[in-house]
Parts: sequence; C-alpha cells; structure tokens
Amino acid sequence: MATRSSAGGTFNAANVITAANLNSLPGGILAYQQITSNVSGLNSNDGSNPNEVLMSVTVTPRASRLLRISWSIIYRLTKAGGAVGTDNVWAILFKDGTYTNAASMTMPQGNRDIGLPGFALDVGPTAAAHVYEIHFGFQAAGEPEYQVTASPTMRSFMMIEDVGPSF
Amino acid sequence: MPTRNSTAGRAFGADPVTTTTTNGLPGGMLAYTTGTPMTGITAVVNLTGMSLTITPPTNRDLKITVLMHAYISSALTSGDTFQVQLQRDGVTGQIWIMRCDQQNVQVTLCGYAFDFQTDGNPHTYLLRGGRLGGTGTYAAIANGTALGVTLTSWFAIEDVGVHF
Repeated sequence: MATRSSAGGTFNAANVITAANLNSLPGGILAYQQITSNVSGLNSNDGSNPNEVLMSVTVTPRASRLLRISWSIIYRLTKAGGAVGTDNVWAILFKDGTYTNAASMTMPQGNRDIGLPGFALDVGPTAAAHVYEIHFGFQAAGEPEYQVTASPTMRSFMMIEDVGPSF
Repeated sequence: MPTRNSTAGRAFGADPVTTTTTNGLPGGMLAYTTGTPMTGITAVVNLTGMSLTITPPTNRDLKITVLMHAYISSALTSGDTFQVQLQRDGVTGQIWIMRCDQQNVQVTLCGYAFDFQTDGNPHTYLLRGGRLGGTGTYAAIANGTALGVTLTSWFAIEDVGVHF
C-alpha cells in the first residue's frame, strides 16, 4: 500500500506557487489511440499468448511519475467454433514487449458486441521511451474467430495518463 | 446533475496563476495497492492488502478504481458468481459482480466509484470479495504470476479536482 498525505492542487492561499507545487500535480494524458473500424480475423491464438496487436503507443515520460494505462475494447465472436461460457477472451497489456497485465472474461454471449475494460498503474517508469501495447487473445477449445467491433462512433481505445508523482 | 462549464488548468495567457487556479486542478493519485494473494475463498471476506487509509483535503472529489483478478480453483457450478464490495469506514458503497464459468481460468472485474466532497478526515477504503453464488472455491490474484501468466490487481484512489 502506498499513500501520500499531501496532494497537489491544495495550496494555502498566501503561498508562492513553485515548480515543486506544479510538479506534484497530474500531467494529464500523454498518449492515446483509438480503433474506429472493425479488426477482423482474430483467430491465430490457440492458447494463453496474445495473437494480435490492437493498439500501440510510445511515450517518454518524465522521471519519477506515476502512469495509468487504461483501455476498453469491444469484441464479438464472428464464427462458429467459439463456445459461450467456455471461451476466455483477453485484452493483454504489454510494456516494452513484456506481458504486464490483462483483463479477461469468459464470453457471456455469442454474436454480440461485448466491452472489455481494464487498467494498470506503472510506478516510476524510467524517463526513456516505452512502448505500451494492447493485444487481443483468447483461450478456446475449438477454432473460433473474433473481431474487434469499432466505428467512428463506437471506439475501442487505450490511453496513458500521468496521474502525479510516483510514491 | 452537477456540471461546470469552466475548469481549472485553462488559465489565460496574461493572467497570473493563483492558488485559486491551482487548487481547482486535480491533485492526482493519493493511494494505491495491489493486495496479497488469497486462496480458499468461499464467502465474501476482506481482501488481504486491499485497504487504503487516506486523509484528503476538504471539499475534493475522489475517484476510486478497481481491477480485480480471481479464479475458481475447485469444482464449480456453471455460473458461479464473485462479488466485490467497496467499503468506506465499514459501510458498503459500491458492489460489482462477475460470473465465473470455468475452473482455473482467471476472470477480471474493472470497476469505478466516486467519493464526492471530502471532509478532511481520515477514511479507510476497503475491498471485500468472494463467492456470492455457486459452489466454487476462489483464489484472488494480487501481483505476480498465476495460472501461468503475469497479472496484477489494482486498487487506487485519486483526487480528481475540487468539488462542485
């Protein structure tokens, strides 16, 4: 458990605002990517490893910052071979090529668009370029095929925010 | 429905930056934890390590985010359910439920909650979780490798700005 007792954004009225004060505040969104058209043919995964890179962003954060990576993908089973209640679908977060975290669910219904959100924190990444990716993967006994369903008005996304100094 | 048309962080070029300006900005992350692995869960219990005590300034709005991984390690009933509760000072304020259909397959719950208008006093936020329906015995994944993959559960609280 990590906590900080003083947060930026709550300064005494008479204080002079310094760079340290401002550095204690969140920096906001550093990068984002959206999917605005369908990504079809997601069928190459036969196990627990990712099969497709849906989104990829590269950021170079300042040192000693706390980042939040959040995402939501909308997927659908598009081919027989998947099994409701059996197939397990994953949105997997990679950082610099390393499996970092995932959000997963057992497919609740066939031929329907289903949202799969998730997030992770990255505490104090080095002040160098880092590549964050969201992969789509699944575990299934058969040979199903999935798509990520997207349009300009219904988007899957990932974004990276600076949510303050690391602690 | 509260709304506001102007936000801090959009100061005009010639204006001096004041404490009023900066106090209107989000304060950022206040606390986070990844918890401790647990096994043998057959009822809703306190999730080990998923407790955060903070003393935020007054009149702030907080956003609480939860990413919880769990799986059933024993025989189950199809459609077992796992409930996660968010408590503040022992009072349940938010509930999420996810369905678990397979043994030894992890499932993820992603939830959000808000705590509006802080009072400046210390408060303890706690996640509880466990079986709500069915027969399975659950394990809660905290931070590390489980079922052959790397997974981290997260429980985080952030200051998202001044209350309005």
